[in-house]
Amino acid sequence: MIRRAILAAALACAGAPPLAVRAQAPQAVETFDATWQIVRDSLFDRTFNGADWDQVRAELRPRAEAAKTAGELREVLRDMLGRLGLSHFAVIPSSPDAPGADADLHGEPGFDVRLIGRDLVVSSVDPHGGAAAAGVRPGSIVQAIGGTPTSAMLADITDRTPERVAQLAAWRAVLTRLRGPADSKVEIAFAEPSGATVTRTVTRRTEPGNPVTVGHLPTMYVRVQADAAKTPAGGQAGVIGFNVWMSTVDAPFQRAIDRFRSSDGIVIDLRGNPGGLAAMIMGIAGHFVGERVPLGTMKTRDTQLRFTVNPRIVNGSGQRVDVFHGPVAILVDGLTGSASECFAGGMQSIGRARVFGQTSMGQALPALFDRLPNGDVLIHALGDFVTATGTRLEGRGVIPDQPVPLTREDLAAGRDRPLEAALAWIDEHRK
Amino acid sequence: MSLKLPLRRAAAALATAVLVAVTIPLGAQAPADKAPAADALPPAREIIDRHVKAIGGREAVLAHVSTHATGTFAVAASGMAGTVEIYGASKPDRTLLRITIPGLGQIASGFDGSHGWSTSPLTGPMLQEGKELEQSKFDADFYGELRDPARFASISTVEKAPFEGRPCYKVRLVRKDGTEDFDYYDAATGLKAGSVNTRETPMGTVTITSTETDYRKFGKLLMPTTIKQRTMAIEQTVTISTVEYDNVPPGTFDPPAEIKALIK
Repeated sequence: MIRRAILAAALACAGAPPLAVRAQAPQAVETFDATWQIVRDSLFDRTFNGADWDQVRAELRPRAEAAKTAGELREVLRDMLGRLGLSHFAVIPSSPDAPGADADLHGEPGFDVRLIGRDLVVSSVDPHGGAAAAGVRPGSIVQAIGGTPTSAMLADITDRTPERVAQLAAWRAVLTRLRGPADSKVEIAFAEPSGATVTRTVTRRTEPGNPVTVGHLPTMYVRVQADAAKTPAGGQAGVIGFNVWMSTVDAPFQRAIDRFRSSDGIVIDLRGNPGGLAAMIMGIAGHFVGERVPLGTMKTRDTQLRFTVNPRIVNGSGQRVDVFHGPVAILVDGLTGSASECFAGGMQSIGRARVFGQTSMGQALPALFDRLPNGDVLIHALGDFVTATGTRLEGRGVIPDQPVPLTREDLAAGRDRPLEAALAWIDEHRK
Repeated sequence: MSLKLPLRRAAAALATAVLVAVTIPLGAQAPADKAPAADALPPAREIIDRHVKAIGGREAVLAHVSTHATGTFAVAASGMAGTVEIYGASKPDRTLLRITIPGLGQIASGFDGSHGWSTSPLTGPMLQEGKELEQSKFDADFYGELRDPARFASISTVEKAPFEGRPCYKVRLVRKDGTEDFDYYDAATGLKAGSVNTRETPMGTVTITSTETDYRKFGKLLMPTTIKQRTMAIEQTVTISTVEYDNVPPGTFDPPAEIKALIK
């Protein structure tokens, strides 16, 4: 449920050609067998989503035996996991795919992108990041990164690719090129909103935020932002956003709720939030729901567990308070995933929030992570999630109550239409 | 007192907390119990008394009024590790469990004689109610390892069966509300080898299989120092390193401020 961080790690070593050849990937067969067995023993779907799991093993094990590098073995593992056709199956490398092929992705360029049509467009720029210093502006189309045309990176995305899938695929395709070692530089060509084409040299900087490492998962940098906003009719609203569901979010979120408790409405911005620790959705929802009601259910092979709201009726100072009863808007987009989808979909299903933006990833399977014999970490889905009204989010995503498309023109003009729509909706409640 | 009951209770609480923390809550994995029953099974009371004698005797158990244990906790497969502190006391029966996990923070749960509660940076403070509270009260019994028959509707020997690779006597304990737990006692040593417990949590009913090994003497009592819990695809291990008796400071079991605010 930590999709982007995991993908970042998983992709860290991808794409580089092997520089040397080993006789055999270390512990290849043991790692293959362990991966196959973990899935066999824990996948919530006993039909393996239609895959003949024994046959998959018989077919692919010889390739694992023949794998000469860690990268080759990982290709086999990805092939095996891909047969399931489900999200939340990934291998996080513990070593380069091949000797010398390591890549450090701790530095980021300081801007985010979204796919709009067939264009990869700068959707936001961190004012403190390298992109801002280099003059990168929202609304610019990324044309090339490090000399590689974006069109080549996105070649696998066609007109028939569903928008929900294309967004994630585009992000995957450019991630390893945008990121790199901190303080490294990358040349990026942009088509600016003015029509000019420019190439800017962007210095990658260490990702901002509070670094958090949970077990074998890659380190994540947690950021929570809380801002006051005015509604079109002059009302007061709080806008709270965070980038990943980690336990360090809870305290600043609590403080933000205390700050906005008397406001006319609260907007929770989950755009680009790929998920995290799913249990947190019960605590965060509790700031807005006064009863212990389920947001949804996780169905595993053997049991069903409810994600039940824990009403938060004590504030950050230990004083008794009421939960926030005003209107709650949730912003989502194509890179809102996993725990964020469970939260948004759950709040939507109990009628406690209105969702704005674009359909989310549709990758909402609670997962475990396990160390494999070769040191890699296997992410594997253990349960399926359905909302309180029985809606399965995997492969569907959270469909906004009020869809608001993302346009290049709005980005270039500095307009945030999903947020504007949410604030206008809060005004309707004030009436 | 036997430390085992607080440990067992801690084990159940820990399982819930940790699994919630890693997003995948609990499930059942029943131990192997296919072995044929022995011709003549000993009565459950005899099995339990043999265990109590093996750990030091009833008098040694009843000689204490509180405990404080420290140790470590790990989910090896996921690379999660931390520290654990477990307190227990009698008159009234109380418990306190604190787990600190880097990257997650501190997760705590307790029963102060009246209120069952938990705190977590994942879900916030929570006051137990209903069946969950009743279970916490039941599990807080400081001398619970004695399996006082007055606390159960029935206690009976089910069979002699392998449990985690060891021949064990399986004992069914039916609580007065009708719910069942199962203890497994090592047929060779008499020591309890583990248990299968079903508990209510805010997320629903969960079943936890625990194994207790590496018994070590603390004072006059033998304690299991390795407790492994298996829930669904997750195994977590609690390793006890220190046990201190009858030196728990007053106020230890007082709920934290955010829980007191919930009680008001």
